[in-house]
Amino acid sequence: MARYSRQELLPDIGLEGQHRIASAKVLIVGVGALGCGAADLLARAGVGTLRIVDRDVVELTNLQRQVLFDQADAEACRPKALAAAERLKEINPEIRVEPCIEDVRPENILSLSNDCDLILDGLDNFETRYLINDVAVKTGLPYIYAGAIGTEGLVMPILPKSGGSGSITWPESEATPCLRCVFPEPPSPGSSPTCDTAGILGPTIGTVAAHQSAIAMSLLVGRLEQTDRSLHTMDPWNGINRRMATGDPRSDCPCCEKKHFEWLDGNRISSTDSICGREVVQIRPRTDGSVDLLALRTHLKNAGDVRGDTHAVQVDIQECDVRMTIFEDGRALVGVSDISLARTLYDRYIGA
Amino acid sequence: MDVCSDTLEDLLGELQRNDTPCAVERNGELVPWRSRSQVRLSEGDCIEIVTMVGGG
Repeated sequence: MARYSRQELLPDIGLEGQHRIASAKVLIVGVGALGCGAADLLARAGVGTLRIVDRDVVELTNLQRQVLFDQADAEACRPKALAAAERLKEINPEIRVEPCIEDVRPENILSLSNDCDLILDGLDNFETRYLINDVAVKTGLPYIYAGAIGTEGLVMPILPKSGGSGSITWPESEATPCLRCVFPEPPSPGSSPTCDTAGILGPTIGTVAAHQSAIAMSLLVGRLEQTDRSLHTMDPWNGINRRMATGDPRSDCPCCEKKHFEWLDGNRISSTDSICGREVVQIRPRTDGSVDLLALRTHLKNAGDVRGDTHAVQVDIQECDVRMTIFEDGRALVGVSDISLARTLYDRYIGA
Repeated sequence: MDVCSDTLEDLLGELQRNDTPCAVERNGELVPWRSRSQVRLSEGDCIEIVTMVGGG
């Protein structure tokens, strides 16, 4: 087909590789900046089916880096999954795009990933990444972890030991460490900056999304041994591009060795309650540690007016006029009535 | 960079990086978490620290 002729010319792809790409189904979890960038490249490359999941709506502050959205999407507050799907169909009407406006949770993730060949990371929080890692290991799907903050981004493909349940399979000798082999525990809530508190550079997103898409395509065409499987750090703003060899899966990994799927089993997933009679949602993360409120105050000062002491920090987020109170144990009260929106704001400003 | 720590774990403390999850590479190899307190640093070691990032 003429549309794909230039990538079919590449010896590693050819007609056979293109056929494999066309028969593939890729799950993109989160269609924010990285998800947009990856979906754009994979749709153009002719990935047969893209299932894109997101819980959020388009906002003006997204447009600087989320390449599938425009001014009209932001003005209409369109759900990202729908706006992205529409744009992707305009880019390539030959592929199938399945938008899902959902919050990815232990209850729905297995049906979302069920018939897919590969999972791409477009997420904005740690909790859902550990959930996806559990799913990848449990079901044997390749998962390409990616994240970005400031001017820096990371990419690491995960080929779990359980070895390939979709169209991509590999022997155990080709398996990589999983996310928990390399980072056994996620950072505690509030300890890391987020894109909404520390900012994010558009070209960094482009670099990271391109890298994860290249790995996805490489796996889809069957270049298993040649695919870069290191933990890759990239910072185009400072000209940094480093690879860290991750070696073999850890023999003491709680996830891929001991098969403890703590996020998928729901034991490590934060819970939410609407507080009766008040427009407030309470979020309780399942973490062992306490929150460093001093660090959190520093992160939050870009978001709005911050006050508080050693037991609680309160911030009035300027951009959306929402008050959020965070306690030492990570529990937060978010001044909105919608639970999904409360989770979104928690992940954006506190980070979990 | 001059440091005074003897082990990798002490180094992370010295650099105030021991409370955020990070991957540490020593001379081209990832050091497993549990080995950090046993890995003794030598003159000229090349250490890379990568902190997990959550944005996207």
